[in-house]
Amino acid sequence: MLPKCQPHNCKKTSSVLVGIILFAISVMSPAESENKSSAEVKAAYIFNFVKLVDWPETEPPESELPFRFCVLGNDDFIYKELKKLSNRNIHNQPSVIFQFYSFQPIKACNALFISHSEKQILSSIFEQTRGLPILTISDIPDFTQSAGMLELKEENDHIVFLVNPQCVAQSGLVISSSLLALAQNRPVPTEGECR
Amino acid sequence: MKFSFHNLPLKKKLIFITLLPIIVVSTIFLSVILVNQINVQRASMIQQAGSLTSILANNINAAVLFKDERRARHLLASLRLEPLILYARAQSSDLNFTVEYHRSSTLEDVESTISNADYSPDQFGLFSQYLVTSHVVEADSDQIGMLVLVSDTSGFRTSLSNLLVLGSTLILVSAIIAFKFAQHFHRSVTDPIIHLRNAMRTISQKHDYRIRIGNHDEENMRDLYHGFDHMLDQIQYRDAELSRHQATLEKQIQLRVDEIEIINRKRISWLENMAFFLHHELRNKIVGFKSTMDIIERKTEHGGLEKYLARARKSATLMNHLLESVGNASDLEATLWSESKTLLNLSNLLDEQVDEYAISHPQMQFNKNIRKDIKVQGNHSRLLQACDKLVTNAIEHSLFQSTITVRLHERDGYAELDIINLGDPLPEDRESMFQLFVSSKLHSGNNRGLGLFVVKLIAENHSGDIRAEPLEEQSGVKFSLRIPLYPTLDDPK
Repeated sequence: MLPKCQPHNCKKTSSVLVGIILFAISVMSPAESENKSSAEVKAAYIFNFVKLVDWPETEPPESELPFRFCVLGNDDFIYKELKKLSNRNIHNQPSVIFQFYSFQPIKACNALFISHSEKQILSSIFEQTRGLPILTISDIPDFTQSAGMLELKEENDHIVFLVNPQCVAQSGLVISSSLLALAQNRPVPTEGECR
Repeated sequence: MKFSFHNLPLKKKLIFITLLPIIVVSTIFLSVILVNQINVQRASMIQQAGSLTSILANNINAAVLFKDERRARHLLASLRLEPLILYARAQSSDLNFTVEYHRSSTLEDVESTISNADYSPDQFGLFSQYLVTSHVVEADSDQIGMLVLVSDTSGFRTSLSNLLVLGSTLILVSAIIAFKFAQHFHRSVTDPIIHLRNAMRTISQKHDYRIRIGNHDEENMRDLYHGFDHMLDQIQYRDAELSRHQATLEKQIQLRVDEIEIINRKRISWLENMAFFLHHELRNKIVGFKSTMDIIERKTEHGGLEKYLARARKSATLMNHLLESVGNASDLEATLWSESKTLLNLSNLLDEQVDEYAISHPQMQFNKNIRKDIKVQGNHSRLLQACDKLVTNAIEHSLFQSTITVRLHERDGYAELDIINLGDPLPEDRESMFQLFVSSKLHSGNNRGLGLFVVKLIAENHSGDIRAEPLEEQSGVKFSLRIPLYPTLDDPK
């Protein structure tokens, strides 16, 4: 509870309040700006990932529909940064960005970014997306170990990524070898279950 | 000396004809192959470089997209396996990401090399030092960057040089082989012709038409040889005929010459006999007649007979003179043909003689115009006699103390002696002057009309002639005695 402002000490109280607020802002901004720049890079990565992945032909053909980026969870930074990039075409398709807080409508997505907030329900999400041509991307640690396709990691102040090629293959997606070559875990496409 | 193919010997001509097409064809053939090889190698080099650039661009797109320098360097480092690649550069479109590869420090000015249009695949020439290929780096059909490769073309140029050397060597070897073949096989063409030529030379030099060429295996040469031999047969036959006819002709000529000699001898004999008859027999009778006339005159006292006796004596004297002249003329004609002739320097003879005329006839003036070294074949004394007669005749018919010109010169193959005097004109009938007994003097005296006849005889004996012409501007005469110059005189025998 804030102290009552008395006429003789109101000026002093205001100053303290401003100082606290400023302090709070100064403490809060670096983290927030850091989150923002990290999200910017991750969003760029996500956008670039989809450029190097081919989706199978569907009925109706995907080219007639916009490319659908979906953000599942409350990672607003990623959503906003992806939104900034949504004026670009992907595979000659205009792109649209959606944010969901439940995974119900995710089957219509082409690329799905799963936020940290959905970490607990990853298996359920994968149940939904299994066999569908949905590129699952996340920055949740060990995402690719959990049947995720692309995992973003921060290491030494820069972003690296890991790829689970079996899961990518099982979904019918084709990932560029050059992209695979860049992945930190140097995956080699082999036969096997996606896990 | 200007080169002329036609003037070359046959052997060299054949070799040249053999060599030239081979060299030309070899050169054209090898040139075509060479050019084709060069084009193929050039295209292959460009294609290889282009393919490598394209493949690398496709593989490096992710590294450029994610600006992964490590990955990009790793990909470019694989170019180390390609020794011709000197430099490579991958660059993002925003130029914020650039990764380079250098093989060595041989490429000094990279930017000018890359920007040099002569090094581009379209304008790449045989002597371009580098080949610069580039490829767009794409991701999802979007251009995200550019990959540039600079290749060294020294290998290509070395290969080009090797091809040129190989081609030149092949042409040279072909020419040498062709030359050797031509040298060996030209004989099959030249030997028969040379054999023919040698036979022709021998025949031409020795005039031996018995030589024959013989036979030859090859049909065309066989025909040529047979034709040549047949021609020689004809020549030999005609030569033999010619010789036979020549011998016959010579015999006939000799017979005719012998006949003419016999006739001439008979004529000379007749002339000698007539001269003897005139000199002795007839003259004796005239002497007898004259002596009888003398006796009659002495024994007769009648004055009326003296006139007739004088007339008879005069006629007898004249007859005597005529008989003597005819006798002398017959004598002269008989002896002339038997006298020999030698080479005379007529110029020297006349030169001395005219001086003597001047001494012996001081009342006349003599003008000498004698060309030197005019030679004839003649009798010295007879020619002198002819000259004396002409000069005497000129003196007799000249004006007192006038000039007599003696001129000797050559004309139309003859030596011409002109005796020119001013004085009495020629009679109308000029030809009769040279006949026996004709005299143009008004008072004959002792002139028997024999002089010009003798000159004519001497001229004809020397195969020449005598003619008289009046002077054009003055009254006078020119006598011209012509005798053939040595050695064109025919021996009358």
